[in-house]
Amino acid sequence: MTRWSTITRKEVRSLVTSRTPKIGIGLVAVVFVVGGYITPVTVENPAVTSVALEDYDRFLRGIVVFLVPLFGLLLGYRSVVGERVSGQLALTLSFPYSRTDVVFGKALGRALVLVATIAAGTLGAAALVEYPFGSVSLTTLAVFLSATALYGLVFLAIGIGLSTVTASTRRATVLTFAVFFLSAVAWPQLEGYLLDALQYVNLAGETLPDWARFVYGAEPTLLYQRVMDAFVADVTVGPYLGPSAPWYLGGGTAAVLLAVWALLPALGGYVRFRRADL
Amino acid sequence: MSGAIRARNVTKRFNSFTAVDRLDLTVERGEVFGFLGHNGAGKSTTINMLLDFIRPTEGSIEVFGHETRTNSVKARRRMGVLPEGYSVFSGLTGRQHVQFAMDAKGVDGEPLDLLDRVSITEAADRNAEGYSKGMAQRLVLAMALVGEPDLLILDEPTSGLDPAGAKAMREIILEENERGATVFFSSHILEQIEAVADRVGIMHEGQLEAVDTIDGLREMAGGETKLVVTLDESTVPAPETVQAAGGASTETESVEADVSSCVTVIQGIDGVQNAWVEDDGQYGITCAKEDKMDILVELNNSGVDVLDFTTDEPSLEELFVEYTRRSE
Repeated sequence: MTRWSTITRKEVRSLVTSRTPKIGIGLVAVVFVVGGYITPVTVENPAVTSVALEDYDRFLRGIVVFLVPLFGLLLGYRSVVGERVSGQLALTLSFPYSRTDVVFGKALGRALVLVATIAAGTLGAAALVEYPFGSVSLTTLAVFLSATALYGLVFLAIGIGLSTVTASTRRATVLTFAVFFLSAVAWPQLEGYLLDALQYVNLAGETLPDWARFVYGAEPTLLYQRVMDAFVADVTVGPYLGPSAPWYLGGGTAAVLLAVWALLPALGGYVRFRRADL
Repeated sequence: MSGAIRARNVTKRFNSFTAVDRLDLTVERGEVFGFLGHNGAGKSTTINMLLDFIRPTEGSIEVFGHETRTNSVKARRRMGVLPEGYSVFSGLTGRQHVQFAMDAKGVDGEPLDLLDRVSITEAADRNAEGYSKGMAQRLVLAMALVGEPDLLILDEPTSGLDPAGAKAMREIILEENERGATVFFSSHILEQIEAVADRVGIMHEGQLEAVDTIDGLREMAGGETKLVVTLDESTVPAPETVQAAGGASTETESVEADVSSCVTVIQGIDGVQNAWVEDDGQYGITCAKEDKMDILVELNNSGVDVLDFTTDEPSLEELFVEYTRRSE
């Protein structure tokens, strides 16, 4: 742990002192805070119906599912390959660090920055939601914060994973863009095609069977939406969260799957990186 | 006692290209070992295997008895490294770089002392990304010196340095060696190696062509010293004297005879392998390197005035060219 911490510290320091990352980090925090400032305006008659985080979530969700994946990916995708190409990695590894130390020290450093940014933004927003006429439930705040941070960590892990398996920054950039496109744009459109395909092979009737819904719904953005629906927006209808849906389509399972997503890509990338010629 | 570095039958292939071919090499503790070769000869590949950046296709390398593939961190704990193709960390000052090195090695100390030693004290608190190539090279050298490593690995240490910087680098190498460190450094510049190395290994097209001391290499390549002298011919002694001095007998009849008698006199001296008259009237002599002063003294003793002399030793450059040509 102490061996990682030197790398983690260096990572955080270079992120917050370099210009581009600093601007990106500030921008993300500002979007979260501004969302909190605008939220009361989006509520009808805020003086009567108290403004809450649920309103904040409803207003900001559409932005969060673009902004947070992008932030996580951008924070992660160059982390290893950028240093590998530039030669900073050679300098780090000329000291008594293993590649494990390097990857996990970096991942930890960037995770800290990501969580701190989202936390600062969300707390600022919560204060603005609470201040004039609202009320913020601490439990909801905790759920919102952890789910959103976890969602960001998933894409950070994917970014770091891509960064460890590629040897050129251009390839890492292309893959990152592809992942973002798939997750933010393409995947939500795929449900209809999946149903058609399953009907064609006689595996589905009028709607998707539960197992197919589970597989389709295991994509990070859909998982995040489900966690937020279940625990922040208190949605109790629909094929996933409705009363007749099986347990494995519920919010709890979604949260666990999200946590798995936050670990697997980085681990997978690391396993390959450990054996690679640099 | 095992050597500082021991490579056994190390081969590295990248697809069909063999970068390093069955390398066997032992670097003894306490020596300065110069690793010489053209760009692309396999020097950096070897050093990268030493650091576990890349893995040998066959064979193994040990550093102080630690296998670099399985025990790389332990091996690197005892090394100070100036790697090839590095770049400095973004957003960190020079001082923070050295601090990072100290944290990495678990060493306490004052970063400024090391920055002082490589003469970049004034830049200590500037972002190192703004350093020139030479300053970055000095900074990374300072990082390598952290914790008095037992083994210094320097990949092309003088690249990017001006002559004064290169000289300072040589002095640091010698100081570190004096302290007891083994130094392994690569270069394609022969003078650098000649100035500090105890032994030299010549890499060519992935193979280690020769390992020896510099004098040993010279000898192996048949390198003899050529001495060119200008004599005052009026002082050349008569043939009888020459005979008395133990030379071969010749007859003197004319002015031309003076010339040949001169050659005779020279050939009569111990250690001279060959002597002849150069086009400009000077005399050429070949001999072993260590005999050249004795020959000049002996010439003087036999009454010949030596007006001027130059020596012409085969440079390592020529030696190197010869070695690398031989295998083509």
